[in-house]
Amino acid sequence: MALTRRTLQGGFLVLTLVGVYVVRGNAERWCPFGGVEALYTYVTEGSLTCSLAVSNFYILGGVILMTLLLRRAFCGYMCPIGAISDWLHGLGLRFGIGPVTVPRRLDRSLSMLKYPLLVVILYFTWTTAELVLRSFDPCYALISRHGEDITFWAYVVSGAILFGSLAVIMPFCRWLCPLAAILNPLSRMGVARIKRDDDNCVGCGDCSSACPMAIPVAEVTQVTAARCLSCLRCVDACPTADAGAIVWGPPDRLGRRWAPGVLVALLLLCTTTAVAASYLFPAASFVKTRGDQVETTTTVEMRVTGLTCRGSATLLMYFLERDDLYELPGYIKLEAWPESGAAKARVTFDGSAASEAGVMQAITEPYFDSVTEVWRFSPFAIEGYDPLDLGEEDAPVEP
Amino acid sequence: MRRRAILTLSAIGLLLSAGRAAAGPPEDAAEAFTRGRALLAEADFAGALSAFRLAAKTDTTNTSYGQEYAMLRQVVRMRMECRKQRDTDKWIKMADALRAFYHDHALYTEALPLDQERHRRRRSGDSAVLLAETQLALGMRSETVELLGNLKPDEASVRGGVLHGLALARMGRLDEARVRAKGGIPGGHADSQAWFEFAGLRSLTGDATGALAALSRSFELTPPSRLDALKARARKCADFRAIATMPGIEAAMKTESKIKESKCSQGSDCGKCPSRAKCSTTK
Repeated sequence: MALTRRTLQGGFLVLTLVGVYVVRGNAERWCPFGGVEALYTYVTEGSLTCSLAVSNFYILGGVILMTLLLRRAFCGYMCPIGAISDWLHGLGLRFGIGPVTVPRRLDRSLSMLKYPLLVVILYFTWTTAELVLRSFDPCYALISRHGEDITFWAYVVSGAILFGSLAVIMPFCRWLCPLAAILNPLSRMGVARIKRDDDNCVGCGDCSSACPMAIPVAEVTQVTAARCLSCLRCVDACPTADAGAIVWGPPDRLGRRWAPGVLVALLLLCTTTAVAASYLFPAASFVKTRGDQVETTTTVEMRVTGLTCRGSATLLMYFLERDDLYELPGYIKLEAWPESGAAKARVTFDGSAASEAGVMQAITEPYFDSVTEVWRFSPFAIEGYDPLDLGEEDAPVEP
Repeated sequence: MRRRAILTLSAIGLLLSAGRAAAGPPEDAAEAFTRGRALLAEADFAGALSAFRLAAKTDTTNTSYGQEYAMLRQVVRMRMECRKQRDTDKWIKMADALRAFYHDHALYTEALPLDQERHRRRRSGDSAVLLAETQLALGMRSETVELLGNLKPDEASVRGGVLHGLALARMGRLDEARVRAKGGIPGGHADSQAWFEFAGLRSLTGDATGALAALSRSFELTPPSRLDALKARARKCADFRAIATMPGIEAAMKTESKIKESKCSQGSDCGKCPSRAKCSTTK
């Protein structure tokens, strides 16, 4: 099982690194915690926090489903931070560093830190609709390719976690991870559990020693601790596991031999479902409306460059609401899927009051910013639309 | 037969090249753009628009050609629309945009009738200030003194007072101008432009130290994106001739802006944007 787990950890870590550094994708959109951070703004405003997408919700859904089935298997098999931390601990052991065993009471106190941390993160993110604390986020340090708002402190925190992982097993995952704070209550309800049979147990305590989350497996008949990663190290470590001293289930009829297969199948099922949902139900991550909806509306879909984030989507709406020569009267609804490159946008408007050409002009024509009293060029370009219209129309001539 | 065909083709070739030579070499994009700028400086809007259009069409890779064309095209449309517009609110909105364009391009003769019309349509202290600013740019000092001197008490403003003093100083009526300069600017009631004009007033009335301080204050209140242009204007401005050789001028010219500018970085997200927290609530 250790090999299966390492293979999955490695696979997901490689996928993440390729996605970030080779494909140069926005990995924040794959983060399940992003779904938690974006939820409030999406529910109250219909728009997502900047740099996040609807995919965050699907992935969060997949992880929640996974947790309800397999406890915190996401942390043990898929999370890149968990993988790096876990491997570093193995490396530390090989070089004779640690392991440092944290007293149980201290461990319990430290593991409570993630809850106030979650409250702080959500308070600031939900009230500002921005990922204001990511500048200090060790995960952001890993996936942002040295993002423009990253601070020195993000690397200090990352360094401390990596250094600490050499001696203490998965310190961030156990004590500080805000996603773990969300998953723990769900994990407690998790279907799959480690069960220990007193009749066959020889009481060696190897299962407890092997547990990366310091769960005293040898002292319980059933592991209910929310922090269980379903890593099955305890099962691997048990000298009498074949006799049924320790099993992973349910269902009971699936013995130890089946456990890894079922676990991997469920992991992949949840992941595939989440990814497929992102493509099958690509809801807009930015929605803004002006005016009351009319009976007959016209919708135009376009790919817009310059529509990279929530801020630029707000600016696009500002262009659609302009009140100069290119004013669009009546109802307007903008649905946008901001991303780097050409992003999808859908504009629904009152077809009797405005035209498709008018929408295109409103988006691309320069405008006078009456607040700063400065003329500005539109930062947007629409694929397949020439705003200069150099081929057809003549330049306007004053009488 | 073959010889005849060769002769015919040669003749056609000669005719084509002669025609091309007579028409002159095609104008390249940069030349057309420079010509457009020159025409615009002479307020030849139709000519400038046509030249910018040619530049944009010739070199589609140069975005600034396209942008200048798009902006001027809109200005021309706005000029036409402005003439027809009867709704004063809408007219003022367009006048604001046109005036900003004219002042950016030093087209003060175009701005003057616009400011006069605004002052006629909706007279106020602000409209008088805008008109006075344009008049001063055109050297119409006595008109400015008359305009600002006839304002009612409730139309008076800090900027109006400064411009009045500046017009007096430029006319050589220094004693009257000194009275205007003496009072200073009430703190918090002036923008960068008012401090700039106040610096000119102090310079013309012989208060070099005060002029340098006001000039520094003006630079501090100017957004970073416009600071270089304002400093360049200060170097050229005749009002500052008296302080141009003063020891403190270099220090004043090095003054940095204290204004935090909201500017979209066009990055992948809003992480570093100074106005990101307001992004969703303000336009």
